[in-house]
Amino acid sequence: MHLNLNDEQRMLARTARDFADRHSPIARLRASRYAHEASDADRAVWARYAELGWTALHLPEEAGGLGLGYMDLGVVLEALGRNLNADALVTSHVLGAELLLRTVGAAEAAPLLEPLAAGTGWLAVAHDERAARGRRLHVTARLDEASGAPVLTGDKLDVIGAIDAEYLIVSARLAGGATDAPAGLRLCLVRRDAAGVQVTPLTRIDGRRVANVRFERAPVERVLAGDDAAAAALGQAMDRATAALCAQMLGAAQHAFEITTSYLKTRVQFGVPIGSFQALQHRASKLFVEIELARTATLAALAAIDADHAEQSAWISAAKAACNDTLMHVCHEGIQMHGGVGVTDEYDIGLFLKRAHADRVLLGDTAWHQRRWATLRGY
Amino acid sequence: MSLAEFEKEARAWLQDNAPRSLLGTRKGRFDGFWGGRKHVDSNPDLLLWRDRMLDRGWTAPTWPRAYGGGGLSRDEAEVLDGLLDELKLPPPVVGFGLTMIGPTLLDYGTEEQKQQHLPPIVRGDIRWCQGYSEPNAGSDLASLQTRGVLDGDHLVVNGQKVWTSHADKSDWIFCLVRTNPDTTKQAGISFVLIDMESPGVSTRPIELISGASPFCETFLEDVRVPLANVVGKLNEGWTVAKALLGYERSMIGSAISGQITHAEREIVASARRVLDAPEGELPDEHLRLEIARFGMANHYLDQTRLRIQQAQEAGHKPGPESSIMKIAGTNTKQLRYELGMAVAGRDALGWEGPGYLAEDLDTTREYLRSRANTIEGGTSEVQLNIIAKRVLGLPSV
Repeated sequence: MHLNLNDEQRMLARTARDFADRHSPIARLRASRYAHEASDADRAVWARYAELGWTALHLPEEAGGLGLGYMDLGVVLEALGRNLNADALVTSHVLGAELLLRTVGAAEAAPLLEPLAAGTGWLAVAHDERAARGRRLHVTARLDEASGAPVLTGDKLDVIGAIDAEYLIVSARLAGGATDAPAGLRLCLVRRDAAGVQVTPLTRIDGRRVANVRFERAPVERVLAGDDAAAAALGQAMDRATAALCAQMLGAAQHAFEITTSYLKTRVQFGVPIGSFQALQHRASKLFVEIELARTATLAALAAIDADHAEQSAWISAAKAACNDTLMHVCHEGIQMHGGVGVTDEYDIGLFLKRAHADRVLLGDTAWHQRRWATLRGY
Repeated sequence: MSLAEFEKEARAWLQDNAPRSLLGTRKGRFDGFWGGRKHVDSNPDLLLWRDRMLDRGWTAPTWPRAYGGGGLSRDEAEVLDGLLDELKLPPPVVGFGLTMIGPTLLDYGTEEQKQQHLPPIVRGDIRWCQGYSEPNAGSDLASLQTRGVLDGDHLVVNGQKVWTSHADKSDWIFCLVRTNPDTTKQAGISFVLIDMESPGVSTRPIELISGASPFCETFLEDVRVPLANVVGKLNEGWTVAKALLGYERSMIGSAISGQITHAEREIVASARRVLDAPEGELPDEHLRLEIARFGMANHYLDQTRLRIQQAQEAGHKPGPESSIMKIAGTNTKQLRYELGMAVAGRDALGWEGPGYLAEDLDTTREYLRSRANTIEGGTSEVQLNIIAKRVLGLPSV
């Protein structure tokens, strides 16, 4: 497995970095961070993603995609992550698309994936519930098939992109049985504008467009998969989304670190740049080592997916644990090294800290991934 | 020959030629035949193994055949190393000749120096040690005081070196000596090779907290060294010295990643014993997550080594990466033994048997020894200085 980018990927990285700085700078997040409605400017950015092929990069060719790998997708997401991109690429185009592909297959998924590839449509995955705390199969929402056409009832939290999506993929359970087992689990496709679907937008610290969604006997378009098949699809799709998220987090950590080191070089106290103080140099150097290890972990996770490596799940967990801890540490240290201005809204470093918290909660905190690593290693 | 063909051929040859008693005995990259004039041999199979590997040049796989090496590419050498690990075979020759002074001589030595010193290293006939640190020159290495005074075609060397690993068992020492005291710190230093049988060289082992004495003090009194033994130009040894430090850091990094490959499994086994939990989830959630944290750290280290190696094979010049590996490698190794001590609890308090298991005694000694990892070969703080200056470009005072 290659853990370094090839020539094409390096070129893609330059393009993506240039794109992110021009069309998706941190100023874009600042402008939209507390808004619930998508703007025309956002639509224009998505159209550009589609032009560049980024909305279809990793999707299979049968479903209108380019059939490239997760290493390639990671290159783009890292560049976008640098500027705290809040678009739903990871949850819609990775988590949502992979769930469809792994339940109904490419041919049947194609009509739903084409708008995604065109940058004009989105999927939202409504899965997390209040008491889940990372337990991937913890689902209490009910699917009622007894009274004819299936209907779904339950509350889902923190659904990224629910405000914009045409379709929601919702996890639910048949009555009876445990709340954490594959048995009885169902993955359902529900129209966002169906009767009984109530979307409540949330205003969050990280500026993502997120909503809580209540389902009250909402009609289900289609049951995508059930039981073991549903659990397996969830596991695989969440793994891939986790690796993709790691690439974004890595970009964020790298940029927060660069902002901090450039501050160290320009801020003068006691007549010298504060970056000449060894106390700060050593802290910066330690962050650098930490980021390089997180970079390795992320590259290894992405490469493992592309190579279908036997240990990919463990490696993805290792990457998320590294990115969770590294991004948080870089932000905390970054603010401290900025001094007073670090806690002002005017400086960007605080935006990175807020994102660090949101990303840590998304798709498993560090302890969750350590537990999974231990389980996969047989202890 | 393709890499796959090479692997096939090498595996078959190793299976046919490795003494059966050595299969499965590999402990690490530094556990094997150290050789040297003072070598006392207990296992004739180690010598047989050395001889057979020597015939193929595989005691120094990447070195030119002209000096007794194998002339292998880095890729082939990596395959060979992987096979030795797979078959659990010890390296046929180990020591600082192969890992430190040899590569340095290949880069900076004269043809005469290469011909004189490389073949005995390849054979394991001569064992080398490192004369860098002094009592008053540790991290501030360039402040060293050992003097070399020109006398005809010789240098007369006086001074004291410290932390000279295995000096008491070594035959030659590569030394930094100040040959010009009237210039800036780094400018007046020379890199010299000294035969330890020369009159005036003496050594004394230093006992460490682990009970072992891998390090020595080495005293040099009026030692006469031919000028032909200066590597690089007189007074210009600092460049050579720094290049060697790069090799030393890589050596420590790779030695560590070799040693801790199986560490996660060993700690789990120890935890199962202590917690009386032969199977299933470890019942102590805190220990379980700490072991997972270590397992992940080990994975990051392993993959980072691979990433750096792949980049270097693609023609990327080795840079401050060796500092990353030194810091991450030594941190991970210390974490491994801190965890080993925490898991073993009272069982880790033994100094020697009876009453204690051999593996617990070993963990305790290794833990104590590991505290030196972040000090030797350039302290972690020196590595952090290197990163701050060369990678991050932070300003000097």
